[in-house]
This record gives sequence, C-alpha cells and structure tokens, in this order.
Amino acid sequence: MVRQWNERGATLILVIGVVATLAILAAAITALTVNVQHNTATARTQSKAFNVAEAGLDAGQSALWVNWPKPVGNETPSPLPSVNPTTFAQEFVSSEFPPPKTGAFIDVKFYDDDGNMANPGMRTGYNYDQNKNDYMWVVSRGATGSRAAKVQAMVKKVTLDLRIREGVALYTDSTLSTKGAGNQPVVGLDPPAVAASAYARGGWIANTDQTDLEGGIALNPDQALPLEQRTKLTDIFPDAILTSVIETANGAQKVYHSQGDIPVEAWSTQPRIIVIEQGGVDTKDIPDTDPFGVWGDGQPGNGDPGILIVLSGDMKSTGQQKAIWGIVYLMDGILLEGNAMIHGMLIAKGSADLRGTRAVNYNSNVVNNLNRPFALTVKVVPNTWRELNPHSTP
Amino acid sequence: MTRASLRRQRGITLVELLVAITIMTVLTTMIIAGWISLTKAYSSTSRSDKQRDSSNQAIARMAREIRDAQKPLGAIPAAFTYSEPYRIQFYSTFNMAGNSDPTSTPRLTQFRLQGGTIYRDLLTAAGVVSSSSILIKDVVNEGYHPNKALFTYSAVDAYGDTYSSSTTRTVSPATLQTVRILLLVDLNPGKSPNYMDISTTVQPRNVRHQ
Repeated sequence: MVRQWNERGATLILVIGVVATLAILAAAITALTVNVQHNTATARTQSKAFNVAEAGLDAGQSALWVNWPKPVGNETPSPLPSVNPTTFAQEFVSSEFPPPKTGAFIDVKFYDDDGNMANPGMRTGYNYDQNKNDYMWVVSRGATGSRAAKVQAMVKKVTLDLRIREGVALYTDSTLSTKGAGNQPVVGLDPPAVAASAYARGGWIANTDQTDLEGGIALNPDQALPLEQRTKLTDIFPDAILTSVIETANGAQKVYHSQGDIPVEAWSTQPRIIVIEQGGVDTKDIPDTDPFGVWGDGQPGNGDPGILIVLSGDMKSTGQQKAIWGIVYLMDGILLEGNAMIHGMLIAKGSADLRGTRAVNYNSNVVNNLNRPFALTVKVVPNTWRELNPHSTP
Repeated sequence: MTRASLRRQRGITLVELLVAITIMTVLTTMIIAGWISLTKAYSSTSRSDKQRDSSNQAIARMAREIRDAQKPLGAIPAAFTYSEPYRIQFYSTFNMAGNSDPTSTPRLTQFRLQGGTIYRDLLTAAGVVSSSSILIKDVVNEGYHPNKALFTYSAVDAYGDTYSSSTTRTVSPATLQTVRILLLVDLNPGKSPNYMDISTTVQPRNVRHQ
C-alpha cells in the first residue's frame, strides 16, 4: 500500500493519552493511600510516644516512693530521685519503640508544688519537696520515632501511721508454752527497752523454772481487770491497720502464696512488708531481715524493720540462725526453737511455743521505727493530670 | 490530469466506511466506559480513604480531649457536665495556649453528633456555644438501626460494681469512669452504603478511681 501524505497516527496518540490518564489516576490513588498510611503510622507513633510518657510518669512516682526528697533543715536532700533512662528504655522493645530522632527516649523531671491546694502550681526552681508538704510535680516527656508527648501531674505521698501499741513483746489468743535452754529466757528485751508486756489469753504453760521470761517482761499484767477491759489483740494491732498493711503489700506485689515464692530482695525493698497466704512457714526459708548485721547483737537491723504476716497456717523454726527484725503477725500458731529469733513483737492468734535460746525479744527501736508514718504509695492528685502541648491547634 | 493518475485516486467503498465507523464506535465506547469506570473507582477509593482517615483523626482527637478532662476550680462538681449518647460535654485544657501552666483554667468543650456530623464546640461559662467546628461528616450512628450510641459511659455504683450506660440506665457525668467512643461512618456517602465502625475506650486521667 502506498502511504498517503495526509495519513496521521491518531491511534498512537489515543493510546498514549489513555495510558497517561491511567498512570495519573494510579499515581493519585497510590499517593492517597500512602498519605493515609502515613497518617495512620503517625497516629500510632504519637500514641506510642504518649504511652512512653505515661510510663515515665509511673516511673517517676515509683522513684518518689523509694526516695521522697524531703530536706532535713534547709539542705537540699541527696540523692534526689531520678528515672534512669537506660534502665527505663530496656523495658520497651526497640522494634516497636524505636529511639527518637531527636531528644531522649524519656526525660522525667521533679518539681516542688507551690503549696496552693486550691489551684496548685509548680515551682520549677526546686526539684525536691522544698516546702515539705508531701506534694510534688512529675513532668514526663517520652519520645519515639518522630513523635513526642509530655504529661504532668501533681503527686502526693500517702503515708500510713501504724499506731502499734508499744511495750508489747508478745500476744497470743491461745496458750504460751516456754522452755528455755538452761536458765535462758525465751522472751526477753533488746536494749534500750527495760520492760514490756506479754499476753497469753489461753494461759501460760511454763517450764519447771520461771526464768523463761526475762525480768522486765510482765505476763498478762491486766489479769486483774474485768474481762471486757483486758487488752485485746485489736488494741495492739488494729484490724484497720492490718487491712491497710495487707493492701499495701498487695499493691507492691508482696503477697506470696507460699514461702517458696518470696524473692531474697523482698525485705530490702520498700515497703518492708511480706504477706504469705499459706502456712507451714519455716524461718530458715524466708529472707533474713538483717543481712548486713551481726546476728543477735541487738544493734543493727532495727533501723529498717518490716512486718511479716502469715494469713493461714502456722510458722516454725528448725534451728537455723535467723533474725527477723520487725513484727510477726500470725493467724495461726508458732513454734520457735533453736536459734531463730524475733526482734520486735510477736502476735499469734494461735498458740506460741517458744523453746531453746531467746525466741522473742521486744525491741522498742523496731516498734518506734514502724510507728513512724511510712510511705504507702505515691498517688496522682486528682484533677492535676495534663497532657502538654498537643501538636495540633484548635 | 492523466488517465493513470485518475485510476490511482480510488475512494473508499460504503462497506469500508461502515466497518470503520463500527470499529471506531466500539473502540470509543470501550474507552469511555473504561474511563468512567476508572474515575468512579478513583473517586470511590479516594472518598473512602479520606473518610477512613478522617474517622481515625476524629476518634483520636475525641479520645485525647476526653482523656484530658479536668474539673475547674469553684462550685462545678465534676470535669464532665453532660454524658449523653450523642453528646459529651466537659472541661479541658487540651490545646490551650499555656496548658503547661498547671494553673490555667480548663474551658468548656463538647462533642455532639447532629444530623450525621460531629461538631466540636467551645462554650462560654454559661454553656452557650461560642465557636464550632466540624470534626467529621457522614456519621451514621443515629440513622443506623438499631441506633448505636456514639458515647457509652461506665461508672462504679454504690456497691463497687462497674456498670455501663444503656437505653435503660444512664451514667451521671459526675460519676463516669470511662468513655467508649463508637464511630459508625459511611465510607461511600451518597452512593451505595459502605459502613465502617471504629471504636476506642478512654480513661479520663483526672477521674481515675483512687
């Protein structure tokens, strides 16, 4: 066929036009999809940054719980509470929470409040509780990837005033049996205490000699009073306090099913409370409350006493040297023999059978130290939580 | 003009013309149909993607503002003032200039669903809407059968049990503990319905049960 001079490539142009249009549409759809995906990814990252900041706030509360920076006199307390960013970051999987493009993964700051409880403000010039009112601010900035979030809240140190009656070495709702080795008393006194009471509501089954109770220990001193006026267990250790102590232990995850579940650091971390649900507790299998002290010297250990509660079943010792500095509270009975010893106070609803060397020494320092208000927890003050500077504008 | 040149100038026959027209018609029809189909698909995808994105942004925005609710000073009893199925009203410092200052006063804010649109209102202290902006359109919670509440609330009753708001039981704004947001949107508004639901539950930080 001979090509005519006026023949044009209309089909090719048409095809190119259609293909170009298709390409533009495809590109537009792709761009839109990518944009939506980007927005979704940004929202997810923002949410993660917020979670990091909130976790920082929790970590800040925890740091304050361990070390509330209240000055003695006018001196700045030392050390000040802090949240270690390296340790903190280890709690987050880096593939899910990548390091931020700028700034730190977590930055937690502590400031004093201005003392205005109606409309609380912040004093950024003080990073400790300068006005000693048990209120502080925690400001936490968390960042991951390209997003950051910042939250702040005022927190309050919540304390528990134990109000345990002083001067009581031992209380049992049942019988007290004693059998000291030789002339050794099994219930005695740690210096500087010179006198204490022991209550055995079911009576005292004494050994042949009367030296089982050290001089200065008065057994059932209220025996002459009418029954309703005699000291009850709840007069010494009120139920409300018991409930608070157990709740505190529960909040601190220090309620253990059995003694085998207790970690060695249970006594050395705050709060020094251990609650064991199941009895059959042997003193040799629970952590030593005075790991750095010298056993039986009566001096170390009374500065950081604790409370051990056994909710069901009894407790015994099988002879190993073991010192418990604090208060032991048992829903059932106790058999202490050999070298195990309680420095502080023993409360048992069941019988107390004490044999061998000294088993219970009333320690006034221990009880005084426990009677000080101690930090139960650090709580966010309602109505003070804020997320700061969200990125968008109204 | 020579006889030979006249012989070379042959025209097209009627049959050839008809065949050509038919082919062109078929081709043109296919191209136009393809074009229309493509533009429809594009606009549908574009619309649903935008709506999906808007839904995510809207629910994130509502969640963040509700989470930040804060009771102001004075006689106002709680951070929340209305807890209704299609309206929530509360005080918030979200996005306020200077909200890092703990003493800045929270302002009255509300989200309301009305006629398929969620509005975010800023209100005066007397509760009068001072400014209003549209958060998202084509929300079908109201029209859906049975109706789906945009906001569902939970609270703790006198016995310490948690309960949720429903058609038969309401949660007082002063006692609410959490807010569940359920957004039901039409991804293809004006065309054949294509619904998507998205939900989240918010724990307002300043009303946490202590």
